[in-house]
Amino acid sequence: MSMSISFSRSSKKYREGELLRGTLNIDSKGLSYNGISLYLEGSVSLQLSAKNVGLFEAFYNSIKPVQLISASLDLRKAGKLNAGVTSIPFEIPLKAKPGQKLYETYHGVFISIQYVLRAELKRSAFSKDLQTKAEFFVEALAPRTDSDPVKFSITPESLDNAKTRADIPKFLIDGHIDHPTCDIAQPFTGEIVVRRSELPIKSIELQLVRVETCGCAEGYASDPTEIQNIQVAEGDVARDFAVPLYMTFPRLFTCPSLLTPNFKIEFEVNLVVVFVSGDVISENFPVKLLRHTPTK
Amino acid sequence: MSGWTFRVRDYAQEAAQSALPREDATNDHPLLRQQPQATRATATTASASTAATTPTATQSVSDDPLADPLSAVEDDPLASSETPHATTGLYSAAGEMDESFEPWECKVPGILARYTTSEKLSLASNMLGGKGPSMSGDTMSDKVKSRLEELEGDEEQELDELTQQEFVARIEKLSRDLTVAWKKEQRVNAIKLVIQSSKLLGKTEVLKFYPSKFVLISNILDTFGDLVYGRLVAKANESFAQQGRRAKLPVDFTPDMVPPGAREICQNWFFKVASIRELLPRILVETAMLNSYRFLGAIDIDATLTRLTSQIRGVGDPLVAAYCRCYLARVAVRVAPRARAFLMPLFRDLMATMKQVSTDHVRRQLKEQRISTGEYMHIFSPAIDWIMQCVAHKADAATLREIMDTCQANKGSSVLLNAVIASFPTGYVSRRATQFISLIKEAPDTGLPKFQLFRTLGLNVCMSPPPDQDRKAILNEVWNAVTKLDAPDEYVACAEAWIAYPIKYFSPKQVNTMLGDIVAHMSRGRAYSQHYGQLMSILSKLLTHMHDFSALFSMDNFLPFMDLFQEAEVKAESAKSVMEAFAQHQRDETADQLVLSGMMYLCKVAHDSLNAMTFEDERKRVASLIIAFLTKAAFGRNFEAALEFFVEARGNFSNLDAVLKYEVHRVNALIMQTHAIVKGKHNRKTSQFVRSCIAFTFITIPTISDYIMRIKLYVASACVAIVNHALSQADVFVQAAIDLIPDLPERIDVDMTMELIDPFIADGVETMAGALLMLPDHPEKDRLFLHKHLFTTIKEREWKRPECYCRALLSLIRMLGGLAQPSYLYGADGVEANDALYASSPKFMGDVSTMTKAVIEELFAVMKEMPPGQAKTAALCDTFDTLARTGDMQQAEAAQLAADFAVLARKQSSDASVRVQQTLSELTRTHVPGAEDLALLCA
Repeated sequence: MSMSISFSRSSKKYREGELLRGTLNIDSKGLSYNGISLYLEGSVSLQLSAKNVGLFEAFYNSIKPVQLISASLDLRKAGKLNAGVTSIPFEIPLKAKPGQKLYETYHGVFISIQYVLRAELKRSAFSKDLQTKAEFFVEALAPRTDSDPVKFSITPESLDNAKTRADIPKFLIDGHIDHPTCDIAQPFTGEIVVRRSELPIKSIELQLVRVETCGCAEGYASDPTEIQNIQVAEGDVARDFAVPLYMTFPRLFTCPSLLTPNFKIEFEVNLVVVFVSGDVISENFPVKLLRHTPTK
Repeated sequence: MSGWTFRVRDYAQEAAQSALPREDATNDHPLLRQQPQATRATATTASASTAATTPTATQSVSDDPLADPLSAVEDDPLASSETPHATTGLYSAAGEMDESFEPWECKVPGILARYTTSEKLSLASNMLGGKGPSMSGDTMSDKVKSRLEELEGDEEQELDELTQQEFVARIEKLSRDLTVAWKKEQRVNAIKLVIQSSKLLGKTEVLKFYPSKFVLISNILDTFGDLVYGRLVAKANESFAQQGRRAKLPVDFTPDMVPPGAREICQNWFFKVASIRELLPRILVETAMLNSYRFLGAIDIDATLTRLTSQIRGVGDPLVAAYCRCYLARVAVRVAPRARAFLMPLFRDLMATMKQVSTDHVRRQLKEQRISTGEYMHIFSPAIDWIMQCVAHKADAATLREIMDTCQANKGSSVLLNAVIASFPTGYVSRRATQFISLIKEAPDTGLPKFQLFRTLGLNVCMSPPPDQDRKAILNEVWNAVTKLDAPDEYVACAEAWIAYPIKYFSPKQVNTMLGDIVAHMSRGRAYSQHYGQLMSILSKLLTHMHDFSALFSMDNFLPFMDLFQEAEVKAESAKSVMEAFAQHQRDETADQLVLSGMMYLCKVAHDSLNAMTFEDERKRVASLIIAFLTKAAFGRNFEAALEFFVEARGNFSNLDAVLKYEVHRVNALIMQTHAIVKGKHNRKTSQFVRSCIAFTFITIPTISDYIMRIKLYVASACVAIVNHALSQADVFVQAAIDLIPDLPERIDVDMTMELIDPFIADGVETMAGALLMLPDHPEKDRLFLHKHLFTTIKEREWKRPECYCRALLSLIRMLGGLAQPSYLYGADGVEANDALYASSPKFMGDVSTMTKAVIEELFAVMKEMPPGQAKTAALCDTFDTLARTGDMQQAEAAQLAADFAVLARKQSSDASVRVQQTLSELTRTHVPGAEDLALLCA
């Protein structure tokens, strides 16, 4: 006896205003039931970082989740199933609660945005009810906004936190980032050129960082965490030889940048240059993500 | 036994009687009538057989009579299937890469053989082991620190020091592990293995082995790419099956045919690969999976290749980057041969990074591994060659010009120069050969050795002709450099490439000069003994391009060149290849002494290489090649020279029966040629010549080991002697043939099986009996001396198959029947045979009759001894047939004798009646006197 949900799209990706379609499949040897229902839930769950508020508060002060959508649907009144697989099609409109928007699915460290469809088959008092649930993904589209390339030039002089500039070996690294506002479905691109460097270079990397901010009674708590690190150059690259910056945004762990009264999800890219000596320099670029291209 | 008389024959009348009725040819050929619209084939037969000259027939004859009527059919059903089918999309390979593009697989063995090492190679003992990416610490600085540790961690990992063989074995095991993991659905392990493997390409600790390592690891990557692709195809077919469709994804599918499920999985794979942290594995693994982009719609493969090309710019080590580019080009050729846009950027990047060779980083590496810059450049060459081949293949003029400019700008790179010469269209290179020569000269001595460049250039100019005015200068320039090469292997490598050049564009004089140079170089310190392969290749080029053997042998360095092949086996092979070329290409007879003596020498070399161990097929091959040579020797009317030539040939080729036999026939033919010239009347000089020829054949025949062949040749020579009035010599020939019979073995080798010799003797006796009719008795010997001698000889032989003996005896009966005639059926002009000699004198007739009786008695005796059976029946019938046809059937005794055999035959088997009846009815039909009486007797 089993029950499963399958969605009409194999990618399980839907957008606000669309119909969530699919079938509920029940495999049984024949049984009678009191009703079959579907429950759709979408919410933002927020958690405070232990680092900022202490463990005790973090445990108790979990902020109440923000409900984005909630709907239910009775598929069947009481009845009986024949032996074998029974497929019951369903469709539910994806419509946010008044005053809310359907944010894009996101799995972060302190914030996650999740949409779940739950199915329940109720049986008589003496038998156990059947339950199943399945996550589906919401994509939130935004119109394209063009942004101008950002040029950068890194020299010992440009570093903020160096203690004694004199000790730092000479180097000049420049380049640009194509778009500080990125379409999440497109790669992050740019170019880096090592003009000169006294020390051989060991590695050049792009570090994608998320900054999650939860608002609460005590104020804001902001946490930067790494999502991924992508090497763009390995070894001592040729001088005056443009090396592309190219990084694909990972799914689920990134979403369009969000700024709401209760919480914020923002992203940054760090350009990290590691020298053979072990010295590391990095340059930070805040980026704004949006979804312009829908996934097919 | 009762008496026997032969029937007197009127041969002229019999011939007229038994001839088929003849009619004059008419226009209405029966075949033509059947097919009014004569096809080419039938019309040709008609005209050939009847000489009819119908308009249609003559018209057709003008066409090639051998032309196959089927050749008119133009739509060959098989041919159409070979035309490239419509290509679909960017990815299809059909028709893009022709044979001028040398596939990667062909290069692999060379690379593996050339780039080896005796140093130890290190490899992690457990590819899947080691720490995973550590997740400890949340802050930025923690991350960076742990990652640095991870980078260093590679060295901390347990490493095994392996020899090259162990390393290769380990990599092969890795490849198997990958397939196993994949089959077990452990896809995470599989991709980990692939990432670890591709990381090995980032290490250059043993430079000399790097190209081989690349070959090994790129195989793993290919395997992985195929596995992913295969999995996606399977997934697509699974979803078709789930939908109840029986369809399979076609080989040339387009993205819109791909079910969403498979596309989703494909997408996931590419996301997974895009998140690989390190650059080199990320590029290599994505490249390996290029083919799977076919499952995603709307992917611009050109853009993807260009993007990967630019990503490789991040690979700092120039060698690693070069091979990474090589891999991209390699996969692209296979997966998207039409995509070209990325190639020039790829090439430009490659050139740009070559400058890094002079950086401290690389220099330090070279110093550590004690490798010169030249050797280091050499390590690049497979990658550069491959990329160059991809770029230059079917490239437009602008592209070629750009590469050429780069090449000129990078004067230092002989590796690049070599790659250019090797991969550019041969015509392009040839047209600019002088330019290339100066580039080669300017190239520094580090890098690829110059001889290699000259060799590559040579292959080009020989393939496609350089401009007329440059040809001489090219040869002089190059050869001045080449002839200074001291190392024989370098020299011969160039000579092998360049020998075709003077052959194609110059006269034999220049070829001769080059050959002389080759002989001089290769003789030094017996250098030839190490380079037979190359010398053989030079020879085969000479033979492929020079079909004029007069020119070939007139080069005074040709035979000295042939003498370079010293080792017995190679010497024989080289001689045979010349003989083969001669057999194939020498169309006309030749009288050129140089050719004849040169070929004679080479044939002798080949002949002398034969020994007891030689296979029969090889003997046959050599024999037929020698005969092919002898056939082409012409002497016009200088018969003496011809005879001398064959005397020499006999001395040289005494081990081959077939050749000896050929010589005997040729000399007999010489006799007949003189006979024709003097119109049958020899003068003193010619008859002397004839006698020397006969002497030749007489001493040649006994040297032949095949007895049967000897008998046949003796008889043939006897006939030639009779015709040329050399009667005593003819006697000797026949006598020799007869005397051979007692010595004959019981069995002989016929095509490798030992068979009874009896049938062959019977054949021999038959021909002898025929010849004996022409030969008059020797004045000093008894009447019918030779005839009787033949009879007694075969009588004394112990026959294993009596039916053969029977056949021999019957041929004697027929001979005797011929001898008994007042005028013989045939004879030689101007020779008085026994008919004229004895004029049917009673004494002579008595002798014939006595001998006949003896033969018939012998026949009876044989029949008696023969065990019953088919053979006996047939023998009896044959005897009856012969007796009935030759004997005088009006004579009661003779008729009775013949009839006795018929009766005996019938007793043996009822089948005999049919044959007896056949003989009888034919005799009746041809009005043989006494036929009816015989029929009665036989009943």
